[in-house]
Amino acid sequence: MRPGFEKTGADWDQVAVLVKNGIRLQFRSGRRMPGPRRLSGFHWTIILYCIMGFSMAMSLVFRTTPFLYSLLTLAYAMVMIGFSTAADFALTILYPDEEEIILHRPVSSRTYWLYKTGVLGFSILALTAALCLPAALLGLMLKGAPLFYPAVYFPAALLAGTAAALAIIALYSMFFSWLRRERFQNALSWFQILLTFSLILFFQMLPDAGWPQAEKSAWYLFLPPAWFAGLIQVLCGGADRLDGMLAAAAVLSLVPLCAVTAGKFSSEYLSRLSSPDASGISGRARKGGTSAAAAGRVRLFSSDPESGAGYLLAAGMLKKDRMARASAHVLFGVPLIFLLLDVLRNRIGDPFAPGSSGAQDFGIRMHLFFSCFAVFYVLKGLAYSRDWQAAWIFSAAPITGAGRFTRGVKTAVLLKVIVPYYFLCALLLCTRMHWMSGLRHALTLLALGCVGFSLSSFLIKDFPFSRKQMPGDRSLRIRYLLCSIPFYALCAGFQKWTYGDDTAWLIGMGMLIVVFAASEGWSLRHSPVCLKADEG
Amino acid sequence: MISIVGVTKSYGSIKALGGLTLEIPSGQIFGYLGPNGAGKTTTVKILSGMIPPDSGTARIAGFDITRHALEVKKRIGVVPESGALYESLTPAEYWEFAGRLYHLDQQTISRRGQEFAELFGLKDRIAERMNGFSKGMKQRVVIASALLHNPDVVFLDEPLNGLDANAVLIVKELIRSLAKKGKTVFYCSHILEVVEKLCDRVVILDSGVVAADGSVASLKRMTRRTSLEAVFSKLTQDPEAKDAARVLAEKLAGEKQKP
Repeated sequence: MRPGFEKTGADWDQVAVLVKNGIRLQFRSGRRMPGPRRLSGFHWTIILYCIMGFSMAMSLVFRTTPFLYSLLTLAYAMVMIGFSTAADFALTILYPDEEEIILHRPVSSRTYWLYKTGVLGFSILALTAALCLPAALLGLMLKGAPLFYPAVYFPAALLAGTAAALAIIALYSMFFSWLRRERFQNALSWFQILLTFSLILFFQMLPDAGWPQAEKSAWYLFLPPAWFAGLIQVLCGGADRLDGMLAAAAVLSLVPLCAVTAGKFSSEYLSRLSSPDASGISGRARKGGTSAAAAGRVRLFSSDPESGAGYLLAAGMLKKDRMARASAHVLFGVPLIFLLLDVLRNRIGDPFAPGSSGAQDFGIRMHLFFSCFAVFYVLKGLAYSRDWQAAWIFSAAPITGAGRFTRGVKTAVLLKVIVPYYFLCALLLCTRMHWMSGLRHALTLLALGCVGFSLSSFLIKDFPFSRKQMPGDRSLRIRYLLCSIPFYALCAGFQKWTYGDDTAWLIGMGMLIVVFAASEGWSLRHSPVCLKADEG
Repeated sequence: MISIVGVTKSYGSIKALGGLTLEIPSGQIFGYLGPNGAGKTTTVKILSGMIPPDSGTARIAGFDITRHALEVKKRIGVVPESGALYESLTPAEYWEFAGRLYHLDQQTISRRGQEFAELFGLKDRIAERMNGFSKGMKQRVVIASALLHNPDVVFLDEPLNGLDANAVLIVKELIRSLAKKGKTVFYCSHILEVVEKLCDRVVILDSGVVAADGSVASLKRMTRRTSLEAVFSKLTQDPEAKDAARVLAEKLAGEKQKP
């Protein structure tokens, strides 16, 4: 292998040490805590993907044809690998700190390219194995699948995962060729939000378009996972003409993707990413200080200077910090999309109408579930920031009660994120039910959301904007989904009890207000006197 | 050893370097000073092959930095201003990583790693991940990784960042000894006292151009000042800045502190 490598102009020893180091870093936890070594974000991602891949395959294996099984499991794998690549793009694909660690060392561009390709290849292999190995093995139980199905399925899944990762890199590179670093990273955060929403919408709308269907049609030529499912069909034997075309599309799709992304792992490219943005140096003249209106809002919503400081910090970061903005928008955007889809499909019934199933409606249940997750973990999302090093201020500032500062932060999140979110929900709900019912339902969700948000501060101890984002951290947050299930169950029970009767609803709302006030009071009294910065 | 002719670099409309020309011989400790944004780090990045110049040429040990970048990089060691390293690694792992990029064998890396660990008081922490290290400890690891492969030219961009007094003494001694052995040290810093004591020659850069070049003694003579700090201030500071600082401090002291 070494002579082959060296013919390309790359240095075998350097590639080996760089790739080994890159893989080692992926498996290292970002934070060093006392006690036994913890699993890294990447470990957790693999465990989670394994469970999700297995569940997906189990739910399909006895109900579908081999083609549909391949199509659906590969579609899922491609989306998850695409998401992972997008989420950790700035950290693993183009890691700006590497400029100062590697670029001054004698590493040629070709060596650097092979290093980046090697690490990316390893990530794709690990993630594909986690997502698709269970599906490959369970595929043996498919009706009509040959015994060698897993041996054909897994390499095709690897190609599909590679195509998904390369497509994301190609898209991001396109952005970067148009924009300089600061603007690129700003655009990246919006692009990630848009990508998340578009993919969710796309997969939700597929059944509306009659997909996936047992009858194969030429429309599958427009669906990338179907290309790779077609490839599996061809390799398994007994393929028709359409399968052949799909398989050809799968193989051919990799050619332009490889060509477009090949130049993106070069050290020159990294150098360009790391070069200071002229617009960033000169800086546009920005309004300094706080406007009169903003100062008024601070006084209105925060009774003391410490709350005011917390409010100003969180409000400013939600506006300017890309990571904070992306966390909040994605968390609340997803349930909003599901609600929009249910409204468009007319699946949301009036829960207060006489004779209705109340809050038992599937759409209402799902919306509640996603909202619970969002309000419960918005604080966790806000713990991450590009400016995490500024968290020293939490321990240096003469704050006499951390609770007051945290209350200011929570007020800002409530006013800037949670209330507008439920306002949008109310608007959407009113298009499908009596405005009074829509408003009552949205108010209930808001009250439940406020309680959940307040309770979450007991669970999430990180100070806002105090943590550095590490590879795998974003995927890792999905595990919190499991923790919000008990809260969801309580909310569902509450709705069931209160929606049938006006008096019960009023009493219930009163109770929620009391619980919220008690929870806030408790959190204010029992928070530490001084803030302690986490080691980050 | 280092030869720079007419090097320019701009970031958009901002000119970072405007035709820099310098000649630095072997064995010299070369102090490179300048106010923030003067172009010091840009110079280091260009000379270490991290970014290309817009125009002009630079050679290190006879090799052109753009045409023979790898040959140049084999002969230099860099301590970047940011002190960036992979914090999830241990010092031993980081040095092994850095050393192997210069094709050092395992035995040499281990031996030199142990020597640096002993010198910098890191012996007991060589197998600990650096996430929990202080800034000064990380800086010691970065300095060791820049010297591990015994480079001919060492670029030090604010190398004393975060170091305690003992470590500063060690690094200063190390720099002097390296220069005596014929190594060229390109030293960027804002700590003028250290530059004054350490450097054979000082260049003061202002807005991307050389404002002064010479030994500390000659710069003092030229500007009729008694310290390097005063020389630096005369050449690069707005004459009214000192008065403005005094006025602001008086205003602050005069305002009543709220309880």
